[in-house]
Parts: sequence; C-alpha cells; structure tokens
Amino acid sequence: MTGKMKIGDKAPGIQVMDAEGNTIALSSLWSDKPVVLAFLRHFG
Amino acid sequence: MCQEMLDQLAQNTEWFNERGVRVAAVTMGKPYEAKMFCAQRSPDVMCLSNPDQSAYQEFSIGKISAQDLLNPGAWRAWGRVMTRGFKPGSPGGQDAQQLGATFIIGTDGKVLMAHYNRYMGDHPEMRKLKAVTEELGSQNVVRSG
Repeated sequence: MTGKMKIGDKAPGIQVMDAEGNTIALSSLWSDKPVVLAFLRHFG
Repeated sequence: MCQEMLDQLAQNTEWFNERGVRVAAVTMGKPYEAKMFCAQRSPDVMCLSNPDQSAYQEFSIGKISAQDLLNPGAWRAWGRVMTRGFKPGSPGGQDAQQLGATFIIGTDGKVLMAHYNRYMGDHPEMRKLKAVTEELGSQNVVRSG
C-alpha cells in the first residue's frame, strides 16, 4: 500500500469484476464521464 | 455499516446521473453476492466485486485498528445507524476490518475528491459529493474530502 490518494493523483485503473463476474477495468468507469466511486465495507 | 452509504448513493444516483456523473460501488463480495445485495438496496448503482480486495489496496484504503475502536466518532456513528434501523450484518467471510472510502474521479483519471473513512460508520457527507459534482462543468475541480 502506498500513501492515500490525494487530489490530482492518478487513480489506479485496476481490474475488478462486475456483478455478472466479467472482468472490468475501473478506468473504464471514468473514461467517458466522471464517477462517484464508493468502496464499501462488508455487506451488512 | 455500508448499508447507510449505499442507501444514500441509491437515493441520489438520479441526481448524479442527471449531471453526467456515474455512480459505482466496489464491494468485497463475490459477483453474485454483489448482484443480490445491490439489487436489493440500490438497483441503479453499478455494483462491482473485488473479493481479493486488490482495488482497496491499490487505493490505499486502510483497516480498522484497535485504536479506532476507542474513537468516540465510531460509537456515535454506530448509534446513528442503529437508530435509523440498520442492523449489523455478518461479514459472511468478508474482511470485517476493512474500511471504506469514496472518491470522485474525472475523465482524465485524476482524483477530484477523496474521503477515506476514519472508522466504521464514517462516510462523506452527500452535500460534499454534490458540491464537487456541481463544479464539474469546468473539469478543473479540486476539493479535499
């Protein structure tokens, strides 16, 4: 883990999965429009 | 505890979409778990799955420490969500110590706002997310979270 992301830092475009199990690059979320991206704690 | 944040996002997704901003949530659940959870609570939010928490690590999102459990803010947040009818859920094999975070990211991939949750139950105020969004027209927004 590096330092916390700051304003102006480049966000990592790491791959995750969508709800269907398909691989998706996070960078695809902001390629065409800005995104509010929330990382949630566990379900519950 | 993530119920409250997800519900707030769900209630405001249309507002963000109308302003050309996508809303997405990364969870630690497996894809089918994320699908079920989000379909139930926030069908309009794009739900993503990251069981190995690699994205959490890439975004440098921390974990709860023993010291955090002594933070009065954590207990206030706990009381707040309980009085709103949220029930503590079982992590179900997920990392109970993992904290959350919220970012607004522009089309150039740069972070426009970052809020790292300081303790369980902490999350950014919706008005702060909206304030940043409303300034997005210029694409030169900078706001600390």
